[in-house]
Amino acid sequence: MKILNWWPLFFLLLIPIIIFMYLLKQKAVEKEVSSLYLFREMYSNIEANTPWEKLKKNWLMILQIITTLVLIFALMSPVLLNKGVGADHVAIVIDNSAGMQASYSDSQTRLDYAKEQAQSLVKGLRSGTSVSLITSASSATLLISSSDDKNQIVKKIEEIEQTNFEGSADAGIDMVLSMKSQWESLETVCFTDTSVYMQNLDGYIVDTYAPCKNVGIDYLSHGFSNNKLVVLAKVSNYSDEEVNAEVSLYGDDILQNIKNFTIAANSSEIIYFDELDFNGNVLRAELSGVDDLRSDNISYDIMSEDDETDILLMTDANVFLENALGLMEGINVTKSGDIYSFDTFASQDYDVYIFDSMIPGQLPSEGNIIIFNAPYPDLYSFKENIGDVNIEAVEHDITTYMEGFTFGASNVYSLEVPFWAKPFLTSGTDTVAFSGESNGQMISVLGFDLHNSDLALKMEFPLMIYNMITQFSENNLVKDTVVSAGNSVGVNAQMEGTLPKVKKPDETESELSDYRMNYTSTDQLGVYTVSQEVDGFLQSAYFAVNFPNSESKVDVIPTSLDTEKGEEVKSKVGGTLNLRTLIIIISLGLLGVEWIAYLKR
Amino acid sequence: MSEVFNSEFYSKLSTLRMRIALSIASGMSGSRKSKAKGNSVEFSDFREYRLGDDIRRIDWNAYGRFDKLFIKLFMEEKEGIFNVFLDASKSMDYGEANKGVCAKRLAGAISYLVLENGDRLFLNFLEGERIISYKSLTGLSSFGKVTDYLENLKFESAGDVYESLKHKEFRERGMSFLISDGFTDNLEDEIKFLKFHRQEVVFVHVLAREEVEPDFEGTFALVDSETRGDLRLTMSNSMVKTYRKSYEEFINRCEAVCKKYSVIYIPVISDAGMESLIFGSLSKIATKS
Repeated sequence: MKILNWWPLFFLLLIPIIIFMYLLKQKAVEKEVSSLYLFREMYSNIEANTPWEKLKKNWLMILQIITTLVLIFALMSPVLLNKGVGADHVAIVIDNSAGMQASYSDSQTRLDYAKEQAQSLVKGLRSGTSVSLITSASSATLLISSSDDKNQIVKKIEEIEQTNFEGSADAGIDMVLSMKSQWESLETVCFTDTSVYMQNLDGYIVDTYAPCKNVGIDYLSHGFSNNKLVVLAKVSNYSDEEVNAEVSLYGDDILQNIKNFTIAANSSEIIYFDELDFNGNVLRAELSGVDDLRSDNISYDIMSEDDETDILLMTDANVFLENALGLMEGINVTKSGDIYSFDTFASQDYDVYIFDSMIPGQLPSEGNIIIFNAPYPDLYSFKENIGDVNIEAVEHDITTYMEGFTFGASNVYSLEVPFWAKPFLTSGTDTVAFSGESNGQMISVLGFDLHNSDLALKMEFPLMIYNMITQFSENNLVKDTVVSAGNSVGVNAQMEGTLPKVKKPDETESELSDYRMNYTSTDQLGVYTVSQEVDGFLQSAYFAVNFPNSESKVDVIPTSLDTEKGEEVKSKVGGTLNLRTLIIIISLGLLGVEWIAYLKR
Repeated sequence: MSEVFNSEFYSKLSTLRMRIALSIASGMSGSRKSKAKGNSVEFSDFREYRLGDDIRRIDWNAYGRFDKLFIKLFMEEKEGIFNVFLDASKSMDYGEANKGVCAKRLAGAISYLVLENGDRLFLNFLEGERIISYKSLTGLSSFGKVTDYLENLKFESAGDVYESLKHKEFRERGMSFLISDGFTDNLEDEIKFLKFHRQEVVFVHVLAREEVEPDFEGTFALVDSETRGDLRLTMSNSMVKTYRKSYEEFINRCEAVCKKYSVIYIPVISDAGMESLIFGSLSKIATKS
């Protein structure tokens, strides 16, 4: 047993006061009796009694003293400690991933229950125990590090917000592991509804899982058939019962169609809405009916205007480039070896132009450009032929996932790097390839012929081409139109315009700090609007953030809860049993006894 | 003090016919059969003639039948000597049904019986360390004096009854009624003293209801009416129980002392009715005949 507060001992001063008041209370009234003979005999009888019997005479006062002592003891908050909370430091990991939104009971979500239990745990800790508070979803967040201020911790727990992110308590456990060495004795208490591996940490898991029913829309997609819109929604039933459901499809908030259907237990159903005339921006599918997880009942899809990238490849014959481009989806490649008829092609406004060992007299003024082994003095210049060299990839967006990559090439030219570009391939101190943005065009130049190198034979070659093309084809404001909560969205604004702004579903708007960046604040479900003003015109694009599919499976009993992995799992915080209520009941009982004794007196 | 001997008392008294069991062999001639054989007309027994016997008492008829000389014995009738000792200490003046009044009535009733039976009565008031003994009284005509004495008695003295009793001078054997509340450690000495003076003793133990069952609760400074000594005491339920226990021990002790010295013990609670007082209490001293 542990005592949480010692200050109530101050009230022990009440005991002498009670005794003093008892003495004061006994004001004697003078009374004449015939003789004191019998009273004196009575006194001698009392004296003959045992000390215990003497005490009995004043047992009302003794009861009062005992009651006072019991109440003081109650104020001291004695708690019975079970195994698990004896350590000097307690790390509390609370899973606040999207799945914790599911109902624990009629009135509580799993996160509500986890917070309630965590607060109860903190209140029951003995004084001086330091606590670290960590929330865990897609990543872990340290809310409190080593504090023994219980009020602050309880308040912080109360403030923990539900996220829509995919994740589990694992990230939190990893964080505890990384911090473990700070404390001599550490207990970890993890509140989660999914499986978690405690990785030899002392402590236990508080299971917030409760059986529930959930039906959710896994994804929403669209396409066109005979110039008519076709929308597809995948609806999954994660419960053990067959469910009748109804999906309503809205286009820009206007109801387009409603479908009723039945889904068998633990299965999915694809619902088609075809022959639609909608030509707006935002599609929303909504599942009606009450289940234990509401957030996944809505799913969004964005209809972007142009999904495909058109590429013009000017080459005599480069099977390597053709093959690499052939691996990519969403691109239309047009090939030509006639550089003199380039102007004819250029009038069709390609998104990307690739010049392989040939270059037109005038480069196109729009669209992005990749040049292999051809000088263009108006924009850049070849310095010198450096012959046969080893070429190395250096850090650049184009060389992502290619760190340390090298290959050999001959007849290589070193390049003068213009101010707007950055090298991505070098040979010693010489730059052999660079890339950058000039007048709103992305331009990459490579100072060697692919045929004179073994680059095309390397595994990294298609990756490099992919990186170039995807970077160059990003002519929309946003790279992705539909993501799960917590995932980032690439914003690709024009440098000539104002800094882009993002409006969240709750209408809060914020300006981004750069033209091109990954927007990560996708915490709210719904449609986000990215806007930028270019030359006085407002351009805007949409992207939607949906509930992460993996979090919809809320009726899966966590595998760690069968303690297969040796984790201790509880459904409640069992660390402490606060005796205060019990003691107060005892003291009320004592008061009752005193009252009866007083009446009988 | 007119309430002491009121009309009810007299009406009860007039119906009181009781002979007090007392066998005596000395004293002046009276109406009481004495153990001594004497000259009265009442035949008692026969015995063989012995030298020196009065030849006038020889039963010649018996001589004719048995050829032996028998003497006829006759009962000698004597008057009984009765002492009434009334404790006149302040402690007797207590109780809603006053102990003193009750004691006076009992003394009056006993006196009446004594006088009515033609016996001799000595009335004694025990006052502190002194004793007031009135001249002997005989005959019912003296009863008026008895009531006068009793009515004029005030319970004001303080002191031990035994100290007072020791001043009494006894001339003959007789019967003594000690009427007291018995709040003394010398009860045995008192009885022994009376027994030493050839007294048959009746102890009339008078107590007030309040002394038997104290009816007060709380913390009190109790003051002794006689000695003015005080005692701080908190009377609670349990204290009342302890008091009752002490009281019972006190009564048992008195009874035991009386039994030891063949004393007739008559406990009286002062709130008992007149009839119960006179007939109930005094019946213990009546003769069986």
